[in-house]
Amino acid sequence: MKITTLPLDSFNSLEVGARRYFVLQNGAKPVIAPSECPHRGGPLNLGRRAACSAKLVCPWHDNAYPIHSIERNALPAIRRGDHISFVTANEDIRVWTEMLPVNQHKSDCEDEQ
Amino acid sequence: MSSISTLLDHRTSPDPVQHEQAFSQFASHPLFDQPQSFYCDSPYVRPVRPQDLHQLDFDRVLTQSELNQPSHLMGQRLLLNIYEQDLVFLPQQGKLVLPEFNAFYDEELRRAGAMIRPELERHVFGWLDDAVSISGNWDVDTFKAYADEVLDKIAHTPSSLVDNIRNSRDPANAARFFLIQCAGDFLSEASAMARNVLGNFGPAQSELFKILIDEYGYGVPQKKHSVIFESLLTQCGLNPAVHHYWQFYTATSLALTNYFHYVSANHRHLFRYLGALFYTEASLALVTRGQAEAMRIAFGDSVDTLYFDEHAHIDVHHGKMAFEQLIRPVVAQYGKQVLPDIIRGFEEFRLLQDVADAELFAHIAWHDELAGWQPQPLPAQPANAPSHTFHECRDDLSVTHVHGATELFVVDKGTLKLVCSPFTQLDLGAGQHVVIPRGMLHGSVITAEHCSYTVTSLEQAA
Repeated sequence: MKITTLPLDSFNSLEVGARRYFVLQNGAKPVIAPSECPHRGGPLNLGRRAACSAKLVCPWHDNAYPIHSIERNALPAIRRGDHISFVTANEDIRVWTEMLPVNQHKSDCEDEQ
Repeated sequence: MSSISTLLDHRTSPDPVQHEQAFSQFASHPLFDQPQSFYCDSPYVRPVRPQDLHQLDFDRVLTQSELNQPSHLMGQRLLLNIYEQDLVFLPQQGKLVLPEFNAFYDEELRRAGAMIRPELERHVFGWLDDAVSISGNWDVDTFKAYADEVLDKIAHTPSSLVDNIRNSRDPANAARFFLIQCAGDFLSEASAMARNVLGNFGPAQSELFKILIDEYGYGVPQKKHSVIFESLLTQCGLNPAVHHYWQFYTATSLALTNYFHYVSANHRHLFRYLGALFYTEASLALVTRGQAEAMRIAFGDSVDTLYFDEHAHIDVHHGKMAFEQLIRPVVAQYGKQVLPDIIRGFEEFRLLQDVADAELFAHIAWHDELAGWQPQPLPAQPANAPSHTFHECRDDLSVTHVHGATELFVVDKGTLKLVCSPFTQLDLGAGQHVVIPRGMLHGSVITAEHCSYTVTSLEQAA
């Protein structure tokens, strides 16, 4: 297994082997969540939040997933201050930053009113 | 959230008047009020400076950057007093003063402490909730891989303690100050662990009990870790009595002891406790080698480092036992749901240890600086800087404390002794001054019939 520690502001997307992940803010807790929707492989990282940010909606078929159920498949991670460490298999890791609508914190509660 | 979780997370607001009275009743108790000396000759005398209470706000969570503030030190002192009312202390050198014994364990005092404890815990440990978070799909093997990486890094990093003591102007006194920071914990070593061995939780309970009996010397006083530590203190010219150096514990050293009580006094935090236990046992097996080396640098090769050597040996076993016989079986039996708290405890105690080390080294550096103190011209002071002048009489003693800002300390009239550690003390006369950096522990005692001194903040008001 491999432990990687990075500044939190240095990336929001990563690839571990062939699988992609993105950093999903769950309150104060960053979650390194799989980018692939479990339904048909849509880009969950481009989803929008719903149910007062408790759910994430895949842009392809509008399936809404509770954040806590997405977290079950997230990389094991520890945030300590402004750094995050995560555990992966011994695979190549590539990180980058892109615009992620899921982390734009407009209150979905307001949207739903 | 389940209804049970909702109940657990629901904080009831006690009556504010009753609450304030409880703070005052506990902190102002004669055992915790003004002492005669900087050194505590009774295990029940533990001054907290109740006169500062009205200036401090315990009703909010400190941030990590505020751990050098006065309310952190007072909060940690109060908490240790509250937690240690559950432990048995009897003086080993001096006489038992029965009224002090009865007063320390008094039911009313315990009730007041119990009332203020949750607020103090939130004030001094709440920052950990923001500093550490655990996410994702952990299992016991990914945690082991992570822990191994952390421990491997510790094993391959040169000891900062050794560097700081070797490079100090006075390695022996720097080492003594380090030992004093350890004394608050080591002289009643593993007391918090004992809170967790009762009840019924299967084979893991017996494993924890085995670690406890190692710490307590299998019923043989000379083998008790605290007794071995007393012997080291004596060899190094220090008094081995419990809390003799109470006034010289830094807030973050107190936090290390208190954290274990915090996660053990309420068994809701049992899994955090197991993670913290694993970190401390596994890391001590590695860092105690450096601690033994630091002792030899400070006191020569003849110093008996048995205390640290014993831990370098037994904590290899304890680290393995904590993981393989406690954590792994507990996760196997109760599921991955308990892992986030276990990992959290591991990481929280690691962070607390790093913070405590940094505060210790900052104090050693300041003591070194003071050892070269010479009268200097007064530094420039910010315009309209808040300033307070104190008028005191011979032998008036200011219990050690910290300031929330870097301050200029000027003696206007008379003489006093500024006491920063048992080994770092400055005799200051009229016109002389010293700059006291924010968060540095110090006290004073007046050495003239009358003395006036002025304390001025060197930091711009926000």
